[in-house]
Amino acid sequence: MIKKNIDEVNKKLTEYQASIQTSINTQNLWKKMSFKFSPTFKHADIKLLSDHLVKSQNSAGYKFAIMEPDIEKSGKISTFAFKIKQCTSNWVAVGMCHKNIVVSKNYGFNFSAIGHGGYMISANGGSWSNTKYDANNCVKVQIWFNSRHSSL
Amino acid sequence: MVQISVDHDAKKMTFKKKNEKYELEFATIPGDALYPCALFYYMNDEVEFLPNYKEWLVCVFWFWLIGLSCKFYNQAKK
Repeated sequence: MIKKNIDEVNKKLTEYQASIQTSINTQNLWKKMSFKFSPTFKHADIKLLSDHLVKSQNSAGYKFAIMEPDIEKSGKISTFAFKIKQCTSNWVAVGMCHKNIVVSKNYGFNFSAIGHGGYMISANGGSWSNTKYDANNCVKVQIWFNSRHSSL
Repeated sequence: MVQISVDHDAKKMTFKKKNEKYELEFATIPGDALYPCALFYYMNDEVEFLPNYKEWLVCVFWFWLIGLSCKFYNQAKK
């Protein structure tokens, strides 16, 4: 009787394990994409402090820092994370962008019109969309990033 | 920390911070892939990419599985 119960438990555990494994594989959790900030595809006023840390410098003005490789290589569902280490101005945005569009605009950004290449969210709660007017240049979320000397 | 999830099938990305989230639809352009990026305006701001943030999710799954196995074991003992 005990053996029968243990066998049932083992069977259920195996089923749950398979289910979790499927879920993990779907979300590609096991596959670590080694994204790195590109030393090539960035504005001249962006300084690479390391493969994973960038800093803006020299002068004010929009400047992109792009990572490699592209997101589509990382599987069906890609997930990644950023930490805003320093944001004294309350304006930093993170997300993803079309590299060729951004390069063609010399890593600059025209916030007032779509077609800028980015899909991002900014420190002041702004949403930025390359394709949708109602999701571009508008505040969609509460302020997520503290405005001064924050580390999130 | 801001976590970003990109669903290529649904063409939707989700920004998550603690208990808040925001969804943004996107479109793909043939020949112009999408890349993670940061955009600055002012000087001396810094953004860090977190390469190992996913590992905690795996730990959560395994702890949940261990808890479940203990539950079934106790039920079997009864």
